[in-house]
Amino acid sequence: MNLTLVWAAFRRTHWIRLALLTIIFITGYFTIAAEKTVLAGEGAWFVWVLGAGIIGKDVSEGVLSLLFSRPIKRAEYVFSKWMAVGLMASALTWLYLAVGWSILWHLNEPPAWTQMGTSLVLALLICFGTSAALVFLSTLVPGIGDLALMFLILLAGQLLEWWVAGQSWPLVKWFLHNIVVFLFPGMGWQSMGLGDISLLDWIGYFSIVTIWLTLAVGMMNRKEITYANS
Amino acid sequence: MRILNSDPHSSKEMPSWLMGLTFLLFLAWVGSAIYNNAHPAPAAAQDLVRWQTFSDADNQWKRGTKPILYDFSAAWCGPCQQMKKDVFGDQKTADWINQSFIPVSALDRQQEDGKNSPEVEALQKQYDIQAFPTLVVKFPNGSFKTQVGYDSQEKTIQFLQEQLADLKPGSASASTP
Repeated sequence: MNLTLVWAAFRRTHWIRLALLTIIFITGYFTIAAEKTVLAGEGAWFVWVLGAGIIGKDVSEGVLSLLFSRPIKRAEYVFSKWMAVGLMASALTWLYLAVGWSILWHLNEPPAWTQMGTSLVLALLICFGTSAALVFLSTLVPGIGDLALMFLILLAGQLLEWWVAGQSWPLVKWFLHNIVVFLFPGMGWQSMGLGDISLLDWIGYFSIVTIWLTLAVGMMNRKEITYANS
Repeated sequence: MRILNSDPHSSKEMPSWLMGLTFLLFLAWVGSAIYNNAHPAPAAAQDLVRWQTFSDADNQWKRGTKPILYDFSAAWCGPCQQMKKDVFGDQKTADWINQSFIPVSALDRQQEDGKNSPEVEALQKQYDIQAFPTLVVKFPNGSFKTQVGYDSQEKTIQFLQEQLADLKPGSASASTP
């Protein structure tokens, strides 16, 4: 991991991202007040708002050729981007949870301490898991095409799921049904205690994350980056 | 860190530890999934609710004394198992549900069997079930209320109590678990 790259990613702000984050916080207030619950799953939104184009923008802006003229390995670059998005999204999710819990206290609906602890850990898992998927998708398309790609995968998965509903293809159905799990690892654990998550699910989570990262490094290694390209 | 690349000046590398870790985790994931499939664990929570068959429930409901409580869930759904443990596995709550509702389990088998029973399919369509778990309380007058998802035992009991409070006095048990 390269701390300079992580820090550079932290400083990548844009008014659209800030506006979207404000919208998430404002709509979150109404959701929390109506449903009397705060979910760590909001972390996935923060990942996509903060991290869209995390690698794709570097590709489209021609930064990579300059970057890799220095002694930086591509794997190091991918890990730094993953870490940056994961850390930023986790910090924002923790802030969101803290604000949400304050609202619940104000409404005389205090959450249980165990639930709060679980949510903090889940926020980390969801943010770093989703960041891994985002980083891989970002290596595939330039700009913020990763965002479009994610929506396209979800839409295609849903359509295919309806299409194969009448067929007896259990493996295909399992895969289509779990697309959300692959894109947002850890998301399904929101209403569970950490002790209720099975060993299989833990292994599955870490497997999905390492697969995304390996694929992301593999994709970066395949890119031909020269000054002539940019 | 050993690098799978012969050119020391190249930025291209695939860390061998990442490859190894990914391979091992994937192998463990597939292996444990196969093992779990071959040796299903005993039900984590004992379900103490006396679930009725669809036809029995319909016959009882027509008498107009109790509402039907449909539990739309799936075996793969974590929150459903949590609700089963907290709500349907709790003796006091289960007794209260048995006394106050006509409980019916509409278990989704789409993922395991590729299709659902016609009754479950029809009920899912009738109540527009989009997520699991979903609880549907069908009142004697035919109207219904739903709770989508599972938050906690307290909130689920509160939802069920609110539905009973909407019934005419004496038509169902007004006691609480």
